[in-house]
Amino acid sequence: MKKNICCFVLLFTFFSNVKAQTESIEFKSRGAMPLRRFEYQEPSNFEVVNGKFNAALGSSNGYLFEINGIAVKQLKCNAKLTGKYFKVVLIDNSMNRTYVSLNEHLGSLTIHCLPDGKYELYYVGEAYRQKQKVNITATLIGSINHSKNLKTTH
Amino acid sequence: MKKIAALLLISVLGSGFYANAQNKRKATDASTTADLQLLFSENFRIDQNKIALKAKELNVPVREVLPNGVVREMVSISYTGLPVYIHTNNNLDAAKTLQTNKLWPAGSLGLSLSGQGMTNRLGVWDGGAVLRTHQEFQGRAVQTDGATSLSSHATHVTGTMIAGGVVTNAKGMSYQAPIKCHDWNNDNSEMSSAASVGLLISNHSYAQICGWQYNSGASHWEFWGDQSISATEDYKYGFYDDNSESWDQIAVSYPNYLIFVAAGNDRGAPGTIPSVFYIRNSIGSWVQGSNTNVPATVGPYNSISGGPCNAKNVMTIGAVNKITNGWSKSSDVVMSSFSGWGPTDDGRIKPDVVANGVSVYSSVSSGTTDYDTYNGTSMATPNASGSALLIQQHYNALKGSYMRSATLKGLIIHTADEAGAAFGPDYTYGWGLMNAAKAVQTISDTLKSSIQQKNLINNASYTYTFFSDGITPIRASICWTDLPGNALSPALNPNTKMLINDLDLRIKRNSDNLLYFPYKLNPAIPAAPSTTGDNITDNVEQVYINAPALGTYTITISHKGSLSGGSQPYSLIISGISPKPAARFTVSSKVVCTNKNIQFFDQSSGSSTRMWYFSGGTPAASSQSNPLVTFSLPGIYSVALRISGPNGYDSLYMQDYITVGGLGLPLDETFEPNSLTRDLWTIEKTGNDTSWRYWSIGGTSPGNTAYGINNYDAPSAYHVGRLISPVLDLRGYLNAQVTFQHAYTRYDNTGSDSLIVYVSTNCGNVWTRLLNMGENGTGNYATGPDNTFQSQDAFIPSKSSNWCGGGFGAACKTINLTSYAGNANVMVRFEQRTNNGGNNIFIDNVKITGTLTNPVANFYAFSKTVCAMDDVQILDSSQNNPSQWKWYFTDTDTLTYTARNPNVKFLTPGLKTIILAVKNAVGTDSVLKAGYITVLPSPIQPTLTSSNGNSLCNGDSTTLSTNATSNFTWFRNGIVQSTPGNSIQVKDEATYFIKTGSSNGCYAKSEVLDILTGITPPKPVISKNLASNSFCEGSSFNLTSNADLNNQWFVNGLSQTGQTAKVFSFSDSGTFKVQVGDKGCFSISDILHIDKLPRPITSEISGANWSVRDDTASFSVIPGINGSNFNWLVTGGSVQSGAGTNGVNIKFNSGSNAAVSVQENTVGGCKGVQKTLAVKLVSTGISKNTTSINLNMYPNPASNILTFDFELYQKGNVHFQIYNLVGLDMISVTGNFPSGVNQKHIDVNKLIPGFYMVSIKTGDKMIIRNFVKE
Repeated sequence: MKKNICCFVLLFTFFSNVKAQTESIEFKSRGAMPLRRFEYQEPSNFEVVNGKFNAALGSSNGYLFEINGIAVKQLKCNAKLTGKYFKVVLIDNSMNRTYVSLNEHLGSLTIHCLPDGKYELYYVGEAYRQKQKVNITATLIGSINHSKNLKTTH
Repeated sequence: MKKIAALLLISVLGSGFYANAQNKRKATDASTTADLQLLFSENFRIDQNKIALKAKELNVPVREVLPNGVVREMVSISYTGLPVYIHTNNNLDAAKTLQTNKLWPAGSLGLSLSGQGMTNRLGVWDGGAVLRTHQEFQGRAVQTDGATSLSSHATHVTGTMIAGGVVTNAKGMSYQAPIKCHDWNNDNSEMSSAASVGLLISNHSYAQICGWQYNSGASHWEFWGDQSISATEDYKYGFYDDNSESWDQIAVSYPNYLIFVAAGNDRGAPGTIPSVFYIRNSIGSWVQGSNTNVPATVGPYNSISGGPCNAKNVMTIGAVNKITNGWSKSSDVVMSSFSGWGPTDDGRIKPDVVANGVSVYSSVSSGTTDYDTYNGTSMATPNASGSALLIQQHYNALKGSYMRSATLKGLIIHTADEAGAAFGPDYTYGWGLMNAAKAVQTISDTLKSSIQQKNLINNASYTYTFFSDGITPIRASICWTDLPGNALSPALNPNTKMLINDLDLRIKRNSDNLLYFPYKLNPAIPAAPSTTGDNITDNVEQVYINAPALGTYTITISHKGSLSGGSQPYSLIISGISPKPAARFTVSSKVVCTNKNIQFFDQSSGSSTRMWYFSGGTPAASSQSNPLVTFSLPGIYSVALRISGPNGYDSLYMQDYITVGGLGLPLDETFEPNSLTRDLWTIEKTGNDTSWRYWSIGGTSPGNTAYGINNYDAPSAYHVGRLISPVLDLRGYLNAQVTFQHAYTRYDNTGSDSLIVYVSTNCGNVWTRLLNMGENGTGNYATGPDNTFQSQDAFIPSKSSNWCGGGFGAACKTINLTSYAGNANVMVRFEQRTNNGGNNIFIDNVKITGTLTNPVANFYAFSKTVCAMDDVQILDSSQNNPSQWKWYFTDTDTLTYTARNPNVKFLTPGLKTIILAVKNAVGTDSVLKAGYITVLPSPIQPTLTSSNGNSLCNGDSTTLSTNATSNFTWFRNGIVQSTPGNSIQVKDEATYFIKTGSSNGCYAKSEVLDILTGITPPKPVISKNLASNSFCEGSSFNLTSNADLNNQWFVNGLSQTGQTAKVFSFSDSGTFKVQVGDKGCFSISDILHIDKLPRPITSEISGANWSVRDDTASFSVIPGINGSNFNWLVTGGSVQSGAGTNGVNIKFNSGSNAAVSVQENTVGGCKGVQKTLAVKLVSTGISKNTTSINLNMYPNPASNILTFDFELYQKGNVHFQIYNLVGLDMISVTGNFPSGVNQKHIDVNKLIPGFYMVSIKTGDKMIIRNFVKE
């Protein structure tokens, strides 16, 4: 039994690692307004602004998916963050709609450190626009491109 | 004792300090600009102390918000001890400062721009979320990124951009525009995503934290510089970092998207250097700084905040005070105390422009009705970005598309108002104060300005030539979205240029080739005024010519080096163009009654004088701008307008332009948009409010438009509305009638609206009633039932049954107009009268028809006595609407005409007969008028000559002379000149002719001289792609002129048609030259002689096609041309002797095959066709150096036949001799054998068996063998 479990864990780990090497986003939504498929365009952008980590992945058909507001100290290998540590936004610029995660949402974010030094973020959770719910599964891979300390100019 | 000394010291220091705190220094006390900044900061603190004391003394607040929203604040104390206040600016003042208010509806430009409808075009990124529910936004602000943390700063900035003006002083620039709001997280990605769906403008009032910052939470100053780079200066000011590079890349990726960024407020910070401050140590923690290495105050120059403010393709905005009455002079623009100044580290001009950013009043997020006053480049930037959206809106309204971001940026810079002490750009105000009104005016003024969006290909250039009136200053600007620079590693003030593609703008004055250069600044001396020269730093260049000379100028856009990417899009904006005259006119009405005034309107451009021609009208000619003209006879008339200006002349002739007396029948009026006559109907209303107008209806065909009148919503009073047809000409008709469709339903059965039809035969002076329906409530012409619309719906017909003849109610009406046939100036009027709040009436498909009679041909001419060669117009006055005409004249330039009103020239004097034949739908007619025109002799045509030809080069002049001695008039560009003499000196470009008169009133016109002006270009130089002045027959060569344009190639003195390109290809010998220039001002190159050299024809190679391995052989060719050199190539061997000549000896290797090739080269370098011979190599043969013939003799012993196999090197005799032992010759045979392998049989049957000897001899070689005879 133990052997089987070990094998299963090994296989699971192996396959999850093998699977999580490309960026992707999937939406699932029921109801009157189905979402377009996210058409991948270019690698995601990771940044740190005023000590908070943000990630964004844009599509070629008007979507922008963001994971925002992670404290830099939370950005650790193999960390699994619950919804209170970050916020998720899905912007549909073509239809002018925005879906956001609720406060204290149930989504989870797993952070992996890849051998090439990049971070892999694996998100499973929900975003809402009024009463419409979208289930999102996303994998973002990248390294921090910009680190900025910003202030307003007044 | 020590204690007392300390106290004294403290009190002295303290009093000194207090004294210093009370005594403000004068600005003139400052010795350096840095000291000046320090002085201002100290004075500010002194004032603050005094203000606090005074406010306490007077028991008033230092700062208060008045009920009207204005904020006022005590800012200093006067010398007499009174408080001095300032009050807030507001967004409205900001709009006036940039003259954006002139673009609004009811603004002075009459444009009605507000940003309405500009969905997805405007975005804002800021430090937090915007309060979307603020009363100023009316649902137009959407937080696109879902940010929830409200920010008053973000709300304030957004308000300056789009506030609706609920509080008037808070009205934003694009006050009806929608906006997409974001916080600054993931700004790069969000900007790209928004731009991909059409974002045109975004605002970013934030920057990297740099230099000195006061941490109010910790109550201490922090210096944000990187100690590892510099302890005294933050490298980030002016530095092009990876964020700058990213935003430049976004701009390249989305060419219509322009990013507006605040320049930052750090100039002069922190004022007085604090004694205690904190710096980051090597691991980034804050530690107290030491007093031995104190960071300096920021700026004043090189104080643009770090980050994308320093990008090349963004608009970086500085802050200045308001100018409520708008800019009138440069000193009106007052710099704020904080706005960052350029240059960037690589010397570029920043800020780009300035806007109002001092004390700006706008919405905040503390409440939906809250406002506040802020200062900063944060406030100036939305002032600019919100105004820029209106500029894009205007451009799109005119052109149907949006500008590239480089065009918008270049236009804003081009039209900015001058600011700063010296004329031209500087590192303080950039290119000046943005002027939105001037920007949109430049877009609208397509005659005197030009906005061009181009693409410069590598190694190409672009030229544009225009005319200057010698008065209006010339300004030309180019701007391009440059490829991103390569962001450097952090360093202090690196001067590495970030410009990737260096475009160049030049203006040349064509009269003398004087060249004008663009502005440039010197980053080493940032306070120095601008100069002009080669700008290798900025991706904006501008040339300004304050006092141009009259004449033509040529703009050239070129580039240095090689363009990265192979090409560079750029935008060119030009002001100060003097347009060529373009004749254009309109008229108050094209169909009029006889003797009714028609007003013509000259809408030409570029003209200063004009002459109208109204043949058949009164007056017949006029020089007024908008003359009134009448035509007394029915007919169709042509109109001409000729104009002249400093840049030339133009004319417009509109044939059959005015119809006098009315339109012929049938009139079939559908009122649809494509109807050619619906705009000729007129409307009268005798009451106020409603009248006849177009309605969208159903139930009639074609289309869905009818005329109707709204009686349903009419007030309780009665009112009358009239719909009047175009003027009609019923002459020539046997009968006529009018039919129409109507739709009407009564409001209820208590009364009826009425519809009355009238006719007039005198242009509406008197009307005769033809038909009345429902007048005074009598009769019912409704087409629908009463009370159908008790639910308060007004009647609008939607189906055929709603109209007359549709099955309910009244049939359609037909009115007989036969009594009025034969008249011109006929009009039909539909008059409706409401019955105190009735219901709507509709009319559609009005048809006025008639039956024509045969035409009656007739014509006239206003001038029946004319001069030979005059233009004479003959006017048709046939009756009964002919549709075809045929004219017959004698002795005119053309004998027959088919136009309605032909213009003819009679060539010789005498009486001229005219015949006209006409035709209409029912018949034909003709008329002959003998001797109708008397043609008088015209004087002899005068001569007109030019002493210096027709082309005046390089400012040259010429004398025009005529042989006319009296009664002559000079014309320049068709306009009479007051020149008295028979010669004039001219040096400008124009058309001239002379008219001479005679006693009979006739004149003759000279030849027309077209005088051109130009500049003789430099003598062109021809280069060739040949090493010498010859080429070989069968090939071609290229000649290239060093002039890019206006080339004309000549071969052997003959101009080559169509050969006008820079490069000319040819394939024959001859003499060549190229001529460059235009307008008769040419330069010709030196003549180049090119010879064609013959190519040799070499014979085939002579020699054996086989050889013995390792042996030598000879080969040769017959030369095609004596004296040639021969290049022999051998595979499988080598040349032993004769190399270079036409014959060689070759030694072959031991292979099986070889090849011998030769190519003849003439002395002139021409090569013949290469010849090749394949040579087979064999293994044996008698060579000159051996005796072996490879003899094989068999059988031995032999009985009958003795066979010999042998090989010969070459053909020859072989002698066989058989001896017995005593040497007697028994058999002797000689044969001639070819070269190669041979065989010989000798019959030895008759020999006695025994031992014999054989000798085989060939040439000088002999072989002896023995054999036995059996």
